[in-house]
Amino acid sequence: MTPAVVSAPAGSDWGGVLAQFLLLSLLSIGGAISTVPEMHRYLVDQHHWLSNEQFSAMVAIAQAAPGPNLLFVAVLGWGIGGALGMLVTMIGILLPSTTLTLAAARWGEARRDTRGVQAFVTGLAPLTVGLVLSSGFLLGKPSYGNPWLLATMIATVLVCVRTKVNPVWLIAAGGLVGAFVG
Amino acid sequence: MSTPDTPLAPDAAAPPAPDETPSVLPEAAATGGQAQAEAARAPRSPGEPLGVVLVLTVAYAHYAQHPVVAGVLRGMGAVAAGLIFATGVKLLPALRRNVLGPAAAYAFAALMFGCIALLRVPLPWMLAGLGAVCFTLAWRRLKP
Repeated sequence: MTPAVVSAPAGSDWGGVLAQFLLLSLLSIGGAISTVPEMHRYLVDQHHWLSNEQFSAMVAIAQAAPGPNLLFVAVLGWGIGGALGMLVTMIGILLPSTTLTLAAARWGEARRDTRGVQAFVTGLAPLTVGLVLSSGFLLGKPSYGNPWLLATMIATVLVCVRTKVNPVWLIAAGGLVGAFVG
Repeated sequence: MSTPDTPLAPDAAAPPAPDETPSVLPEAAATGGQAQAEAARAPRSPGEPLGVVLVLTVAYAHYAQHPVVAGVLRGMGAVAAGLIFATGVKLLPALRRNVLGPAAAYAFAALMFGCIALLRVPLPWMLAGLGAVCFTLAWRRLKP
């Protein structure tokens, strides 16, 4: 059965997927979460390989499980093409990070007090914030049509901003709400 | 694509799992300690979380048609969206002390949100355009 896939990339498209994730890895200012909008644009809006709902569910699965946030890339890769999809997206996102980006990070760290690095880090901080907010907004898309889910999302934002509760409990609570009214 | 009967099999073919989320430069620290938060969630053995996530993913692929499972996932998705949006909200106060000045920093964050989330402009264009503008302004402001 093929429930998780709307239309998987054809064989020739895997080169494009790899290129997209390689590029995205190089542009991942501000960590894994800030790459969500571009992945969403590419996988959902441009190619329609995943629906809004599938995209959000897959990121939620990665958030609920232990481990680094970056694993959502593996889940999305699996979603568009099983083991091959996961391999391609993970190689794409990890290869530059483990080579070029790491070197760039070391280079930047050694020169963190220089004007150029300071201008890059603080100058682009507003864009990073915009990207993280965009990630949340786009992941919320399947919830906007359902008042219960929208209320769940808003409540999560309020609880998370005002308290230090472990996110795993919130996700569990969300699953419970969804079981009845999702 | 067909769902394999042995959900753990792909784990063997998996690329090495990351120890930590990579970020280009020390931005994560500058934008509010995301790095620490993610380091705290770092796995004990790198392959283990990937295995857990894959089992969940395959289970989801298998049962996604089931109405209750679909509802549960929608609820979890709403919370995941809220969590990430809240991360962004918590980063907002730090922009008050940004080198570009609070008004410009908030304006650029809003512009980025509008272009990326609403207009769906590809990220490379935004970084080449707005990123270059922000860098240049910050560079001038940091003149010694």
